Amino acid sequence: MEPLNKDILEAIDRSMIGYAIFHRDGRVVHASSSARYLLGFSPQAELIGKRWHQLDHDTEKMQSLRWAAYEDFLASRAHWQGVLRWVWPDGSKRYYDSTASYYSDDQIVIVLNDRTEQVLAQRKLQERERLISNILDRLPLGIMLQDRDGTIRYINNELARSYGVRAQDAIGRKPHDVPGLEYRNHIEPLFDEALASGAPVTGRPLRVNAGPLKGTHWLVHLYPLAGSSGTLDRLLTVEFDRTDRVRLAEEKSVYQRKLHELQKIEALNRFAGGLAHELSNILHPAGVYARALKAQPDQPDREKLLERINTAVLQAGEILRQTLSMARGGTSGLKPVDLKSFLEDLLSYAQDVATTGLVYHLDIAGDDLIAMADDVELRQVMLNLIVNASDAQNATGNIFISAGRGGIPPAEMDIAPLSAGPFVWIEVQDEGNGISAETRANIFEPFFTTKKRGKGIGLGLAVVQGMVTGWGGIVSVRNSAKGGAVFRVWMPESRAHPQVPAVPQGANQKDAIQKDDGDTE
Amino acid sequence: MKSVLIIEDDISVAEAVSFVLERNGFRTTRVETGAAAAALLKSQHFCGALVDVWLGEEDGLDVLASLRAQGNTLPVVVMSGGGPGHTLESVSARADVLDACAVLFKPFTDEELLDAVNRSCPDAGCAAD
Repeated sequence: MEPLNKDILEAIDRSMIGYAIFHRDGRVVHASSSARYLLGFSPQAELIGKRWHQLDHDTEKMQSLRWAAYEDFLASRAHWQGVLRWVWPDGSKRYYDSTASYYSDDQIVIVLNDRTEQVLAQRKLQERERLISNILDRLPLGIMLQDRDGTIRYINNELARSYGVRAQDAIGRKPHDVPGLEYRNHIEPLFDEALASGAPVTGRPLRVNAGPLKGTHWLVHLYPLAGSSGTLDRLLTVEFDRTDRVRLAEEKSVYQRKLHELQKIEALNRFAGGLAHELSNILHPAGVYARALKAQPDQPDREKLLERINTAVLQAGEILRQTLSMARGGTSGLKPVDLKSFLEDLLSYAQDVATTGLVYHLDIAGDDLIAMADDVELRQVMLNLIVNASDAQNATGNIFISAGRGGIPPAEMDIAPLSAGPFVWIEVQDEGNGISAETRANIFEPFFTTKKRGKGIGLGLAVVQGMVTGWGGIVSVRNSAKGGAVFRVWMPESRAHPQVPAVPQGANQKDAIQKDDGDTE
Repeated sequence: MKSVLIIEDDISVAEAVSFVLERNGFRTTRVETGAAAAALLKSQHFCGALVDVWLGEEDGLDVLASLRAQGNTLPVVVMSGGGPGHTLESVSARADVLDACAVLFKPFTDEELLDAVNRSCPDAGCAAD
């Protein structure tokens, strides 16, 4: 062996690569200054003659294991290379890349290169990876990382479990090479789309039609990821199983339809009871007076009795007329109605026929408030509400009519709208005394009225509610901060626009021009 | 003269019932609510009463039940014209339980009315005070 120049040894030692020599029996013969430093000793510390494996602060058990490894090395007579773990007096652990070799027949030289920072950093990295992997595995969603060519780089437990495969069997392979994952071909078009566009493909609902997941519903997101070179080389897939939610929504819609049917039947029962009560109360006196007149045609109050019979017939007729208009609810004439032009048209008419002293105010929040409704019925609904508002304040003062969009109908009502929204609405607010909570609970019931007989028969609001629920909407009522009643007509918002503007003829220039063209043809 | 209390919130029906009874020798008093009836029964003697089932916010059969609960044994004829939750059968059954003399379904004839009231007030000596 070519002897080392002492200067070279010192140069190496100065670069913090230490070396020590000890006897076969483990007793230290020499330790370089770097070795002393690395092993946690001062330059003056007495090391010579002490057994090397007991010089640190590790446990006795670890030290005896170290000695056993040393004996193996002695027996093999070969070079040894590995990581030496060492515990400093303060308890901190150090790691050295080390080599051990025979220096002479009975002396060993060991070279130490401090790798503590790297080992700790790597451990931290591994710990982090384990942590992230643990989190990803426990998430209730599927996660997969793939190369451009489809090779799986990562798949979390949730996704692997869904397809009945093990993560370790899938990593490094392409989906169609892994039994079970070949059923992922429904993802492929999205995969290609994300690769081609380089942009994320998010929130795509997918229904799986084959394989173990047949019949399940997923929401899929794909994110292209750029590698260190900046080119797109990986694709992250995140998948949510939303089968339960989809099924729940399906069940809910069935349930809602059934509920709506039940509501209709219940409403019909209530209506029949109310109608019977109302008509019997009207018919009974008519019968009494008719019989009295028959028995004694020259009654002294003959005129009065005849008038009462006539009044009863007229009242019964009024009930029948309104019953017919209610029966017309459940309409088929739904079409987009532009609320702005509808209300402007309606109010110009209403203001014309209003008694002096009654003023209508219109406030429409924004353009493009398009309801899906029956415009003829909506006109009747609005006239009913306006007449009620006018009655509530003795046909004088202000009535505020507004329109807007958004919000949800109050949940505490007896019936729910068939439509899930979004809604547009019209509100009618009066300056009356408002409506008590008890009355609010019954106000849409047929034949419920707070007015005296002859003034109203209690069908108006039932007709209104019947028509609006027929369009999938609902009418709600509350009291305003000022105390008056506020009726809100909630209607499903239409995505389509009205085909013909609901504006009356001549209301804008364009219409007039089109009309002229028509005349000249 | 026999005195009958009419508990009916519908004025035109009350008037018509009263019209028939008064022309047949009864004296009638009309009230619109159960509370008014209860108050009047404490201070005045009646041979019998007619009560409507649907008294607006009130249920006429509840009014009758509360009279019975107070130990009042006044003969009562129930008048019904239907209404939400009031089938002919359910009204008859409940009226029976509450010891009503008869149930009249509107519109009823004058004979039916007089027969029911006469049956419920058979005592010729039951006169107004």
